[in-house]
Amino acid sequence: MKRVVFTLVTVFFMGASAFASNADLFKLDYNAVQQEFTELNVLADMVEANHDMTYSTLAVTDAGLVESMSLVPTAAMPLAGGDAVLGIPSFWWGCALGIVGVGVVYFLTDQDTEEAKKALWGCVAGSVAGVVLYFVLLAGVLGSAAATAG
Amino acid sequence: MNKLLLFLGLFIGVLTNSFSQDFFRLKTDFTIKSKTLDGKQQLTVGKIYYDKNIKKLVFQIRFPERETWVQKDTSLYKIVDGKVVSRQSTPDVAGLTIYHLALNGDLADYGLKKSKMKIIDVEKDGNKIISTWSPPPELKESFGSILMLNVNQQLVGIVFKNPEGEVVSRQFFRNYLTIDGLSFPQELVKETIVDGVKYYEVTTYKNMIINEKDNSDKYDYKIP
Repeated sequence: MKRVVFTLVTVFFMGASAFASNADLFKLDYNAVQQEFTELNVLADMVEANHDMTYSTLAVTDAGLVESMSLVPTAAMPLAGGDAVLGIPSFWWGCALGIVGVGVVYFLTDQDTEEAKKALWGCVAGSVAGVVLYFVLLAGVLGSAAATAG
Repeated sequence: MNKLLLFLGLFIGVLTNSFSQDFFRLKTDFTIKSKTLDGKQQLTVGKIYYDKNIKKLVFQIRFPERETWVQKDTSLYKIVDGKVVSRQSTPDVAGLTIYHLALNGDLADYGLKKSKMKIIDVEKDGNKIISTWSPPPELKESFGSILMLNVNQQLVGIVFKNPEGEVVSRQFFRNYLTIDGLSFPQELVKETIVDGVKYYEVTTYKNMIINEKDNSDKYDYKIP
């Protein structure tokens, strides 16, 4: 009986521990995130108050602010971003979609050339794999034809 | 008796149908704050129009510059002053966006149920559920597993891992608001980890309108 209780308790705590371990993956220091964007929050309020404000007008009226913030003059795509476009690694974009995938990565990661390079390598890998597969299939067909003829 | 059963069947059918809502359009203001890998800051402010039947993503951006971006099928158009200034080939991503998933009622599982990903583990703790999804064998060399946290059946967080099991990206869906029956997060925090350094992007939504009857031309934006 003691063994059964011990086993049940152990299994329970192992399960709880696994949940706690995975639950840690979802912890976010939101205050730290907000602090990252203190300057952008101020700018967002300015843009909200003045609907005519653009990067170009701001660069004229407050060039110092644009420079001190190292503000990017281009827009971000409101889809997904960062290292993996739509959560898909750049290499795979290139491998699966060839040169189109390279374009996707280049555009959706805000012209991130490093990401585009990874996609390009994927594109090359995909092409090489395609050529290899073609020759393997061709050899198979020719081999089969030769065997039939022989 | 048969007539009575038929009447009851029809009555229940009509009643059920009247309670189920069809969400097909979404319009919202958005703000994206982000930092690039080289430490620069980026602010994007505008409006999004999306109709799931048209499947055309229309972004009317007013900061940093006034321009319209339209994603339709495999093309992404950038339009300035009524003229197309660039056109890029892209995969058809409209169906993968948070907007499409929310309108289709698929946001709770991030659309993974309809993907090739397979659920391999579910852990429950009270109203919290963590599910682990694995890519199909042929994609395991390129994709890692995905973990999802749902609280009260709402998607709260999603973690992307690489094939080596390292976390490469996390997304957090915050401040859900129910607008005309549609539940949608008002804030999306994305964290990307590159060489151990965390980069953030925060997208906020407000003034959301669901199933707008007017402004059809905005949802079905004609490419000049």
